[in-house]
Amino acid sequence: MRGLFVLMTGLFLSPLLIQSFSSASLSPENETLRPMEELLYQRAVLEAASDTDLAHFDQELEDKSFDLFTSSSYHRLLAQRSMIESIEHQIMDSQDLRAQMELSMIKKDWKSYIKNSNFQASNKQLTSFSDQVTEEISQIQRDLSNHLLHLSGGSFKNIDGNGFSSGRWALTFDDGPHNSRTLAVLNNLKTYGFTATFFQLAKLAKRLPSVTQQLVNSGMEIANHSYSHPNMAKLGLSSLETQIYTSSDVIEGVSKRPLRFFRLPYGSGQTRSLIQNLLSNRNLIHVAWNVDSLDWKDRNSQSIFNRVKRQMARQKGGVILFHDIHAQSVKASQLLMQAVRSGEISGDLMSVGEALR
Amino acid sequence: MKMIKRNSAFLVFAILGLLFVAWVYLGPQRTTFSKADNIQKINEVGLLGTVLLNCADSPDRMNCPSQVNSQSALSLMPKIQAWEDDLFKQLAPSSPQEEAKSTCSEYCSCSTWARYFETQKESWVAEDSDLLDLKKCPSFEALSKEKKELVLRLLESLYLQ
Repeated sequence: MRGLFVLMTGLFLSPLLIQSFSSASLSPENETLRPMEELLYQRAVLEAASDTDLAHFDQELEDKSFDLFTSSSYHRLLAQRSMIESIEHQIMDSQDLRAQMELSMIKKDWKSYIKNSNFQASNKQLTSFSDQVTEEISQIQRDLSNHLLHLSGGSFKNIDGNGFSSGRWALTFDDGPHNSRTLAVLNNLKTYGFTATFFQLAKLAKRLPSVTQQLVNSGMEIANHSYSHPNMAKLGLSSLETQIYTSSDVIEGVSKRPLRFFRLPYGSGQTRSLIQNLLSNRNLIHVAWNVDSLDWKDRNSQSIFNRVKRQMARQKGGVILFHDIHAQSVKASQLLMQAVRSGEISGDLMSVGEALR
Repeated sequence: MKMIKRNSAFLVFAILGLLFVAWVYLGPQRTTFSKADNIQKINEVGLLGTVLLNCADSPDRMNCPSQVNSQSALSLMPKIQAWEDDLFKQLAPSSPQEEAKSTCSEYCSCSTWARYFETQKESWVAEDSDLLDLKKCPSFEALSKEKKELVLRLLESLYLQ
């Protein structure tokens, strides 16, 4: 009899199991509708909350004893920003164009969105959201106490080359080392008598230490471009530490030189205070650029060179961005070296460190 | 007691069997859909990148959608690169050479595919061909109505990233 009961229970449960399996992973359209609506609603609520907290924060600033790191409205704002970023990434990573358009509307006018939204949050959803917010604020407070409070003396430094004196051009190469192309670039630099800065990925430097060492021995500057080239605007604290601290240890170990400069992959995350503080904690200066060759997209070295030349003509000095992993970049950067050496383009090419002297 | 044990074992076995059948029949369809979707998305983002690159290279905004000028197009390019890299990670380690070859000229995304196959350490059938010359791609104004709408929709998404 009990055997029959177990069998009947199993037969009752199995369609439910199959159904939940199917709805969760096989036909996502109906099921993703509700979470997406919920995400959009949360995004709008966070916008509303951050408006209120920003007003509080501005009021607190009037107080002479105001301290950024102990300000509760500042903690809430950081938590809101982190949650907003996370929600927006989920929406943008989805294929849901309607949700993406609605997100755009929320950013423009959250009040109208909330007013017109049909979404009704259940008590369970509200409680869960409230718990998430509380946890995020606690996390921010933990981060601040562990990593930020002691940094009050440090400050984030960013260079984009716009302040360089006339004719000083820092030539920079990202994403290497590459076993043949980096060495081809090095060969060209030696031929034309220039130096450059190579922003390297630690995982590649570890794999090709001899290339990095050849660059150092030839007087080139090595800098850090993260461990594995992720979009760091999207990473949490422990991953950021790997991308900044572990990678610095690896590259310094391979190059046997202390690192001074860091460049965020895609230049993404420069405004994130957590990244800024991690960089300044390691005494790393962020180096952006004001001339972009776009050599990752364009395969034509002549048109890459023309693009660089046109941008250089609009500025008196700065930081030029190439990638030493593409064949077209080797040729295009050679055309640039040739043009500067022949006087077709005025000024000088050098490493970032030299440009700052 | 023996009967209960035997029935329970049978029940667990039956449920696992049903789940396995569902996975075999329905799982691979989902994977295939996701791969095709990624290929299409790479084509589309490749097209947007090409449009923005041509815009960045034209000082007179002639080749630009109305929302961007050459300077803003230039500043959006790292976001395109990041977007492409994300899609590459989702597609890897697939090697859709045939699909890419048959669709890239339509979307002017052959240079994007060249980069994808470079990241996979694979040679690419269109390497060194005219397909990689972005100067031969149509300007924004010359795109079809559907392609223009697609570019504007993707541009909107890009601004939000």
